[in-house]
Amino acid sequence: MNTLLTSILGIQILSLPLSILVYIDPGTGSIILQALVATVVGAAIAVKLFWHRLLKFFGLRKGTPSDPNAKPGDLPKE
Amino acid sequence: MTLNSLHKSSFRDPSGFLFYDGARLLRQVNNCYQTDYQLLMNSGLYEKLCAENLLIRHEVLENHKGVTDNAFKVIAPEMVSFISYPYEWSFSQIKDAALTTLKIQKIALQFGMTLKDSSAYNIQFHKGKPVFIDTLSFEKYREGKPWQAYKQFCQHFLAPLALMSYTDIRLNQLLKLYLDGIPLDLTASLLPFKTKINFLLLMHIHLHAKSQKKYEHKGSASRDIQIKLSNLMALVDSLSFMVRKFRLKKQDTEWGRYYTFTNYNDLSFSHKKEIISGYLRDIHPSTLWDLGANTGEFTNLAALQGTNCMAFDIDPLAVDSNYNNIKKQKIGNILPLVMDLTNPSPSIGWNNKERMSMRKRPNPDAVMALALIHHLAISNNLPFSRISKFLSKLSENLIIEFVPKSDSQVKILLESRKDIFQEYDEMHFEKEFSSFFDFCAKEKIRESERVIYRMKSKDKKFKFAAATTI
Repeated sequence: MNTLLTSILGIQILSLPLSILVYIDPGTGSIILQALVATVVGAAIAVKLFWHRLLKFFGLRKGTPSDPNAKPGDLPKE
Repeated sequence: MTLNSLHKSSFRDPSGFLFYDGARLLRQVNNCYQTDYQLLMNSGLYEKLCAENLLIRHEVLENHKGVTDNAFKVIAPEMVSFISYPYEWSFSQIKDAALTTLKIQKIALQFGMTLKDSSAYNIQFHKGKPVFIDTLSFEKYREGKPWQAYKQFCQHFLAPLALMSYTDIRLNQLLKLYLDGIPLDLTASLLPFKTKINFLLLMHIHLHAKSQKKYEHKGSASRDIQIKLSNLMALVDSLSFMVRKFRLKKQDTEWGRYYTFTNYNDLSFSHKKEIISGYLRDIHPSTLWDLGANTGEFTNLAALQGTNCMAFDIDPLAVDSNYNNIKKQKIGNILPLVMDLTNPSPSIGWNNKERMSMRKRPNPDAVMALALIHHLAISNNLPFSRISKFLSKLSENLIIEFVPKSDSQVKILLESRKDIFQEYDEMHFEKEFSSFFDFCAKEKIRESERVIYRMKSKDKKFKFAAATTI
């Protein structure tokens, strides 16, 4: 957990000024955890999309991924 | 303008605040929010959210100069019919409120904006659905910036939902103690072990709680963190997925079987409905509170006549069932809420005024107290005099059912205790209630021992209100 968090923190680009209108405390630990989860689920989506495109390329699947047993990151059915 | 005209719960956000102009509730938009407000209105986000009934509409009051020097605009939001709070909502209501918040955040991101707070108090139930009422919660999305309201969302929504699903349905009551949502370390400690092997719960609750503790006094650690928009969208989707998956444990409460085993046969039941519908037509109330509404069978009679109804019950499962039913039938004028009449919602928050007690909410035109009196008088040892005084102050019109000792439900209540209720009978009931009410009608239900009354409160405040009503 610690090394993962450190490597996330290592991916820094520019620092942006915080908006003065963000009046609630976002919580340092919450921001860090958010970055971790967003990266993990974002990667999971990317892998799923890539896998779907690969199968589509080989003619093994049609259309867009709309698995009812959606994994995290899939658009929920409205 | 005095401090008193400001809304007691609207003071934290520098973007603006709610205030009363006479009886009207208005929202001042401050100069510092001008850019974001214009972006909200001009980007198409406002129209999109209103069209989908996700955000409350507002009217701009061009001639109103506001109440302080830094006013940019004054807007008049559409009013919701009843203010309720997340600790009064049932499981499905909290779930729907959470999904509404996430849907709004997703759409906002698509329009280049983001929610700067995601408090459960930003949601009110309006025409049967959860709707976002804080127009000033939106700010311009800056590429790479994390979602500032993520922590608040987890505490206000995920925490109670997880606790209700995995530990106990009653744990949303913790929201009464913790006005900014249930702390995640407390939530984590109350959840069973199996929640640690669920990936999303592990991330959003358990590790989140640990991360909060670890970085408690290290504010600068998160300053430079960037999150790609696509990853942020994925995060929001993961929260939606998680919320949708939450389910209540199968629980059998006595109320679940209530209508199967009560002292009614079909004839009694339909006669009771007939009597009540008649009384409702006589009163013709525009708002009504149904106390002990259970699954809303009788509240529906008032709703069918066009009344705006609040259906209160102590049983969270009954309220949940009522809510799911009104959703299915698309009924817009019933709001089911969890409420213990012997310990109703108190006034809490800053100065004990931020969130109103049940008694401080506007009085309804009528109150129904069906199959309730024996629970108050016998289970809770409340004398008739106190019950009638309480009800007489609640509303001008009362429809109440007297349930005698011969009734099977009362026999069940007296099974395990000594019968100290020597004055629990129709005669004493009528005697005590006549001190606070005038009796307008009385009818016994066919093939039952129960009696239904229609009464008018003698309380002076209703005479005065009647005289000054437009």
